[in-house]
Amino acid sequence: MDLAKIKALIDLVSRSQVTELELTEGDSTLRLGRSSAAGPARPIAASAATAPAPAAPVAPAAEVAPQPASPEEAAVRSPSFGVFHRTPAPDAPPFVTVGATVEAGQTLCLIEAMKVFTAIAAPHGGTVEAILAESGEEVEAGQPLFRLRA
Amino acid sequence: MIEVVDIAPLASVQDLGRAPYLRYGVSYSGVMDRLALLAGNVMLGNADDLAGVEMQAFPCRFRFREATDFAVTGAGCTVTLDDAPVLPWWAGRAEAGQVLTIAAPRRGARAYLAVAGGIDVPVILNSRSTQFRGAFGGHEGRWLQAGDVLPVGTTEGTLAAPGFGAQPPDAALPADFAPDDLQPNTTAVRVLTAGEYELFTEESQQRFWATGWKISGQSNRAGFRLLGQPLDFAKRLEMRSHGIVPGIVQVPPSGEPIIQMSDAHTAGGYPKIATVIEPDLWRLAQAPLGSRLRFVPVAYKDALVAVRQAEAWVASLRRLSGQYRSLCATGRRP
Repeated sequence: MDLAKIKALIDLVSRSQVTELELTEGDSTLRLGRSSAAGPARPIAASAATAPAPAAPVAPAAEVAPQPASPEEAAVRSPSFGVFHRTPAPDAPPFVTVGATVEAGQTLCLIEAMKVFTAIAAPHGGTVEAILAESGEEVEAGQPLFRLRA
Repeated sequence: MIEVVDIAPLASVQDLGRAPYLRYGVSYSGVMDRLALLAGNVMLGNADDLAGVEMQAFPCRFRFREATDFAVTGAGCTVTLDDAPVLPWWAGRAEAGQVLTIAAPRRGARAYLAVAGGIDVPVILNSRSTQFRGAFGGHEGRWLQAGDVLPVGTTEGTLAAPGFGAQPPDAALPADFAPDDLQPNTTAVRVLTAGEYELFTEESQQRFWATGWKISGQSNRAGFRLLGQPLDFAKRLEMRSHGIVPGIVQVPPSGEPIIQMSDAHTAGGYPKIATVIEPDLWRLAQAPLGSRLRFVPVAYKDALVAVRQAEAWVASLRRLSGQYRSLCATGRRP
């Protein structure tokens, strides 16, 4: 199977509704799959996008949010820029420590931004594998804070 | 009526503010990004001063109890109506029961939801804006929370699906004033030097222009605290408090500038080094926490040109949106 043919197959799959394609020729097998991440979160599929707009008002090109790669899927990220706090108060024990078992919705930390503290909750139950930021330090929007194994 | 299904902190009902009462000591309030709310109102055929919802944290979710024309402007957020994606700066129609979700922005910082008829909270001191210090205006004088139900002014929505988009001001308005050495993740804003500019050492004046000032996490609707090497005063000056307006850049004794914003006090006594021009205040509003700012000097006459450019953009949007809505109203689908 040559590269040109593989590329043609990729194009074919990406243009169609096919989610998985497996092709065997002789002793080589090619499997193409479409990840579920290509679901509704992608604004390019907007029916609105193809609509005629008045001459000057033009919709900006949709930007696709980066989909986290698999090793980071379990990372709990900061929703905004702010100061990362592991404790509910300066002298209090931390919300969670490495190795702790947490339930979905349990508070993991606080992010302080615009003089407001926002609780960051565990998206799912699991074990805290790693804490990826120092308490009191500024974190960026999207920065991984915890690694959580389901 | 719109139900607030789910809302991140720091969302509030705001209009264009309470300017006439500044001299009585009532803060301006109002949206941080006036151009974005104004554009939303213009796209929907609303009066310019109707109120919308300002969002500063995400996600936020609203359910429309009746079919409603809406527009989402400001920050470039991932927006969905039920499961259907909605592009940024888009005006469309929601059917009764549909849920609009506004998720974290990929660019910008503050998003605005405008609805045909406006958010119809009572007018207090000439404005529907929330005044937090006085706890009046807006929805019960406070930040929005899940479960709130917001009244919408009566109007006949006219938008036919799928609606239409506007070219955002960051693409439509000239940005040729930005310095050539502008770093990534940095917003350039034009400023006029202010009364106490000459109090700073020459070296500090240079540094004021050359620094990419970091917007601290303490920054909010009241003001932006900037981080960078502190500026030095050539001469210390104690000043009496005097009237200040959004956009003024003050330098407290620490030497790190503060920019006054929508919820600023009406008076202050710190020396003023500069003032961000009104047509660039929306650029500040859309600069995320943790990003950087560059100040660019502008001549007064060029500042007026910037005002006219923004006005021309609004006028063009008004004309084209009006045409689109009248086509919808006559039943001819654009």
